[in-house]
Amino acid sequence: MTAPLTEPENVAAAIKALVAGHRLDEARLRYAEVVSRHQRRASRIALHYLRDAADADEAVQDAFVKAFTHIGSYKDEWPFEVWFTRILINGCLDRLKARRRRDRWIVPMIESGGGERELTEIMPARGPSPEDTMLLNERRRRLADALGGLPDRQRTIFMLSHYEGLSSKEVSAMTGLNESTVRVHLFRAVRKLRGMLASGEKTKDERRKTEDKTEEDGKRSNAIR
Amino acid sequence: MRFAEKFGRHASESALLAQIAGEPATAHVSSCPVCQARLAALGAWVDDTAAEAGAMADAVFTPERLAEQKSEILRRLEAAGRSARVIAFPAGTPAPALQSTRQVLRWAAAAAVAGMMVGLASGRLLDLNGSAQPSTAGLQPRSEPAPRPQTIASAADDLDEAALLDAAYDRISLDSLRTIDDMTPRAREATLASLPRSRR
Repeated sequence: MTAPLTEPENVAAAIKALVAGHRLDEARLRYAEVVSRHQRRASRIALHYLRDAADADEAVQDAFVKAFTHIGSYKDEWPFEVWFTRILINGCLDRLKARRRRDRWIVPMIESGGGERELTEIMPARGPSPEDTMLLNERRRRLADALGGLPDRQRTIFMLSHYEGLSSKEVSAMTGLNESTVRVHLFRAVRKLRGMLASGEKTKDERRKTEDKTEEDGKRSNAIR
Repeated sequence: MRFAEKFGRHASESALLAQIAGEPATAHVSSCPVCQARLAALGAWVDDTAAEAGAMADAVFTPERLAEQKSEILRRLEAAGRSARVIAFPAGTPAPALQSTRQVLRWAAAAAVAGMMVGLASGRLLDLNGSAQPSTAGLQPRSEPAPRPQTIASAADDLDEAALLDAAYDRISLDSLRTIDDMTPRAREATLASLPRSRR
């Protein structure tokens, strides 16, 4: 689990002061450090929201640009990452709405598949043996499917809480939901994930038992002959 | 397994998940080693799942992709900082206000010329109507047509024509002609009657 990162408030405040003083070149230089620090986390959040790498890339870029151009409205009461993540999530929600409106009228081509495949067609994990690699990829595929089965908000809250290690208070500030709602969403997300992954395991176990039985029957029949 | 554990006196999985989600721990879970072990296992499962999901996302956003993303962000910030380019309007076109003034002057001049021409033409027409009978003062007497050179044949012809006319006149009563002549108004008298007294 990644330890939560906290942006020193003085960096954001310094950038704000530089922008206010029209020293934009210096402000952009300092902001480059902020981008380096937060872009990986931002990309993960956007990817799990949008389930499409290109869309997530654009959403992250838009969020960073928007945060810089509106740095004057940043307040010190929250860490910069909370304020920025709020901007990012709102941008992702807008993109999701636009995509749903578009998909209402456009029938996607079956061959293209769309962005949903990107998460499942991940770089193959490497295990000690080909069988382990295959099992690891299979597990990731099932996890990607299970995450995709969660509602957008539950998925994001799950990732923010358990992967990014943020408190429910911070998640509440980022998502705009109150803390009790965050806990409810988190509870539902974990329960649903557990149910989907457990049923997937059951299906796999049943399949394996069936294969083993078939193999045993085959051996027995050979022995009889 | 003890009776209590077998028949669900322990915390349900939902209760444990709620605790993982941030709900305060129940008294039972705090005191029951079985439930605490289950809670720890469940927590580990959740953390492993989250870590796996994060690793999947990291596999998509490689360091190279993140570097490109950062370059694009900084390029967009730089472009946003530049002010808009002002394109100069093409030279050679006169200002609209000046053009409209010249047009107005042209129209005014044309109207003045047209008015003058109309005035002259109407004055000329009236002048012509007023002096329909040309004045004799300025006129030169009508000159007799130049006699044609007489030849014996032409002289003989003229005599014959005149004789015919005379004969025709002899047949008409002169008194009747004179009456008709008296009744026919003279052109000069008619024109003079039409003019105002000051001009007669």
